[in-house]
Amino acid sequence: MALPVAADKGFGKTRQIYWGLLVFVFYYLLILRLADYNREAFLTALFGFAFGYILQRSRFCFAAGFRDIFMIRNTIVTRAILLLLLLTSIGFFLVNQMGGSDISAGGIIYPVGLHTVFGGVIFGFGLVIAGNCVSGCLMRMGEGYLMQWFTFIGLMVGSALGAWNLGWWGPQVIEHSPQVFIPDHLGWFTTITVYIAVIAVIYCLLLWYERGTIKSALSLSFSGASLYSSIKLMGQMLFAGRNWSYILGAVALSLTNILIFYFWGRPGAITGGLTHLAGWLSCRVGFLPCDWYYFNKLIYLESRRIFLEHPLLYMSAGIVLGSFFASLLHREFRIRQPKSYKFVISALVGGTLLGYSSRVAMGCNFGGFWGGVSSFSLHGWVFGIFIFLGAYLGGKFFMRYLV
Amino acid sequence: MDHPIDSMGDICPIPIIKIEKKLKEVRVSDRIILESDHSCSTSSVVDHFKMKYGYPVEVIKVDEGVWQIIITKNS
Repeated sequence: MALPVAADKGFGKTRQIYWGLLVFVFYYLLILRLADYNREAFLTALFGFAFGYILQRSRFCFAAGFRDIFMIRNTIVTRAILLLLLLTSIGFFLVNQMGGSDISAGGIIYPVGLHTVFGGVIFGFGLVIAGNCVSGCLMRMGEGYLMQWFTFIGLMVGSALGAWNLGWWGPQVIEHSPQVFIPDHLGWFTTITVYIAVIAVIYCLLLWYERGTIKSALSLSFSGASLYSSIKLMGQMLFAGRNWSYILGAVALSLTNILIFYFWGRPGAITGGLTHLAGWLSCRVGFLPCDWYYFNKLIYLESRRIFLEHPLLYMSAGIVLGSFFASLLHREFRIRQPKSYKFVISALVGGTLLGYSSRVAMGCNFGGFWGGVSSFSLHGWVFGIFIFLGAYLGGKFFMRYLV
Repeated sequence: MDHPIDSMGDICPIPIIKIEKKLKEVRVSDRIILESDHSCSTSSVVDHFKMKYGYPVEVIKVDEGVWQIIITKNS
């Protein structure tokens, strides 16, 4: 069997870098315009672009973190996500202590209850068959994967369904569920200590599960030579187009989220914005989303915004553009076709499940899980745990029908 | 001997599953060459076989957004 792409098709003579610079100019003009009339959207577009760039360079994939444990007994990405959670939590705590922003006021702290459990399981199942989570979907749309554009269609349909269906979940479940802001119950000092301890224990358990030993977590060597080689490696990652390690990705992503929290007062999130886009599209095709519970009655929607002016929508657009720019700059952009029609169907179905469940659970992997855990809200943890359960079930389905 | 695997258009974690399946069939010092357009696989496949199996792994970019990942079964 011959491999379809030959090595000598004139590779190296292409102009992707120039297209990349053009994308950057377009983006620059866009945020310049936003800075004039919508400061919130300016900030989210600014940091969204950074998110997209970092996600593309580090290939940081939340879906892999939830799925690879079960499917290939690999915990590299899961452990990077733990580092991400730890760094972001500490950062949010510090911002809070410095008086920059009040977590309980600006953080992602939502009710935790049956809807979180249900949403988590469906979300986990959806991310395995879609092949990505919500941030991964946006990142790959920017890299030219056609499959993820189908996932995005699914996300729109699912978000609209979820926003409408909250009419049931809201009065029946969410309104009776408590918001649990952990420092209210444990105090700040204990909360941070428990966070560090829990994350360290899970880290070691995962390493032990993967390799049968935790030696590599305990043997950190600090010699001059290893310092020099890691600085050199870092230089190659940042400036010479080498893939960023998952660790560097986690550090950069958490720094970006801490900066957003500091400047904007809220952590980064995605699906709130996507749901507003879905609401706008629903209007276009003749529905009346303004009557839906999510847009009409949800108390967490601090102000009634016009659909297309929701700041998180600009964060999503920023992620797609940032990833598009990063892949062009490193000559990695390509229109990628899925291998079989089965993947198109799984992308559509998976995307719908992701959109629906992130509405029911009140957030996706980005805002709900990462932002929730880092804002010290219990719902983030519960959502995360049940994503694992859903990913386990999704993995079984995947191996049976999609491999 | 070299064993090519065509993984263009596959989604994660199918490239890794395909390689693991192939590794069971091939002999020591054989090479597996996976061709993929999935950018994530240049990190995930490489880390998986380097860190978990300890095999030498090499990545060659053969076109825009297409890579060949070469894994040598050394034990």
